[in-house]
Amino acid sequence: MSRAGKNTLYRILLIGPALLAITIFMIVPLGLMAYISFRGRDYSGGVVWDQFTAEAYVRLFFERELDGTLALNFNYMAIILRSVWLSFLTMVISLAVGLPVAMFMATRDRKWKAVLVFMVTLPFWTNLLVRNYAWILLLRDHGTINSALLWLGIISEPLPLLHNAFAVAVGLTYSFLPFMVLPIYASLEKIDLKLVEASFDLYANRWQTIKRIILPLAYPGIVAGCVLVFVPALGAYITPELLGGGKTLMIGNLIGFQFGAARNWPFGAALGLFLLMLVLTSLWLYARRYRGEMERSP
Amino acid sequence: MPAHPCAVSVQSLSKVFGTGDHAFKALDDVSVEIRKNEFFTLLGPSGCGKTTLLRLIAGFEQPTSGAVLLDGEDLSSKPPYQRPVNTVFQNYALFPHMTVAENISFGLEMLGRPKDQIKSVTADMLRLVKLEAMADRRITQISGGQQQRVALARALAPKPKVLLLDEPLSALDLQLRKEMQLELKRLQTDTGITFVFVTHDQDEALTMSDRIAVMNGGEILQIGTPREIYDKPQHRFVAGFIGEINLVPVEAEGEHDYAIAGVGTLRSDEASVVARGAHAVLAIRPERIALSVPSEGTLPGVVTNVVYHGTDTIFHVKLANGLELRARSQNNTARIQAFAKGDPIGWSVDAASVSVLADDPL
Repeated sequence: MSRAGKNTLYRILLIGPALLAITIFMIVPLGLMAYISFRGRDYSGGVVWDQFTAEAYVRLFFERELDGTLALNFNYMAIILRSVWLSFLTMVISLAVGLPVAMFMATRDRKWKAVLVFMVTLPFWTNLLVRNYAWILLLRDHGTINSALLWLGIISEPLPLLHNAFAVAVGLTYSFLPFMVLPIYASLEKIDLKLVEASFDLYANRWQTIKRIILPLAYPGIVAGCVLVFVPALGAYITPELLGGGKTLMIGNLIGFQFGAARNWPFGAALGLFLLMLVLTSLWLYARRYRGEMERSP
Repeated sequence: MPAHPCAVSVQSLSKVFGTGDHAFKALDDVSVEIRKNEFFTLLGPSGCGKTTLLRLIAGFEQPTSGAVLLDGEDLSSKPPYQRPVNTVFQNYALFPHMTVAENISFGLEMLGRPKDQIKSVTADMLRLVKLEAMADRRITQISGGQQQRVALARALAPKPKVLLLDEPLSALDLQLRKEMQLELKRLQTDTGITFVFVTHDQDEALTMSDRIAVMNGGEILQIGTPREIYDKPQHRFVAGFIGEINLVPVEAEGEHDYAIAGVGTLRSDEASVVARGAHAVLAIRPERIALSVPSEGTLPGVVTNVVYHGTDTIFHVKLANGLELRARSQNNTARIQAFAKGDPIGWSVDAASVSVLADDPL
């Protein structure tokens, strides 16, 4: 075999496993999802494989009346919009809370940094389901928070903390906060402290230094953190299920419902693809808007 | 005569890092007056406290005791961003997310100067450091020497009363360093700004400074012009740190006469720092030792080694008491050096070139 041919063979062998993994775990499931979303619905679960229909996509926006006419239906859109809104809120709160935490961590000495990073990752050692149940104990009418407030005499009636959008936002923020803190911490930690001194030296006070030096240099970490919080929050399932109490549905619950009780697999697949498109579109819009700044940050 | 001829007055400044067993005294009761428009150098080995002193003047560290005055005004309570002092950092600390021009105008922006003024001063600074063509380059797109000049321009743009330079040339190669030494001196003369320059490079200190403070162990050992520091070291450390020097243990015989045990007597113009009969140390530069054939008026020795250096030759001369001196002789003729290894030799030193130091430990 020629040398070039040998090289090509090696190359294929080397990237082979990765290609195989991507094909099996990404391309095939996505293709299957797309395929199913255009199939007919089998009312006992599953799909009618030999029927092509765009019914699932029609259902996103319209409701079919008994006489077969279509009427606009914003129920699903409302859930999708709520998901986007709650995820955005989660991202903003996580950023507001996570940035100072990351700054605090990044400015400790080496020994403390290790301890703090460990503490931030500590929640991952317990199952997400268990941690969400813990929030139920905290938030419910006779839970820790309400009991304490009642006992202190601050309130006379329990506050409605559980089974609403507030509870879901709290739960999502709690779940995804580490994904905001860690990338920001990583980018802050790389900043040379001499740059901060140089900024002070050049008459910038603390706020000006944060605004002009620290934030621009931490920008890649902030972007990564926002993406890592927004995207999984958008597809969250457990938190809205438990803390939203079935009333504050998000896309994840809606999709789960289609594959479960509603037995509408094509619609579930269509919702899944719609979510994917939503995420990709928002990332693409974002990248386009901030391309200049992304290139300028080191 | 201005009201405060001193630009910076450092008064009994001490700085201790850490506490308890880990406490480290970086600066020990240091006082120094730095004059207006002066190129003042803090010279010393690493860990001598020179950078700590600079950082205390800039305000990056708080003193344990003592005060820093600028034009007579106590700076102690002021954070770095309120001190009319700018720093050129050792590794420049340029803002990587800004262009050359943005770096230079940063200080002016923070001072809230009007836009057109920022623009014109930035343009002036770019011209001053010859980087007009680089204004819109990113910091990562320019060379080390250019970065050095940007750092300089950035620190000079707000027209500080004092410019602090923390080993700014140490990252440059020799050729560039030599150029920048002259450049810095020119900038200092042109701008009339007081420069406080930190270095461990004695050559740099000697060529650029108006005055030098030699530091070691958190203390200033001697302050003087380069010539004073070189020719009249008052401390064994100063003598040894700057250039090469012979340290000869002696006993004071008279006010100006010193006996080298078993060798003879040397004269110094300097009045003795010790009482008659006490021990002292004479500091003699190798180039000040004159070698000849043994004769009246010279002290005896034997050449043990000859090291040729091109411009000059170093002779190692062993004395009767076992001490070895180094004598540097300039090769200003092409004639072959008269002395070879093993030759008996006579040596002498002009009385003006002999410094007398107390025989204290380093």
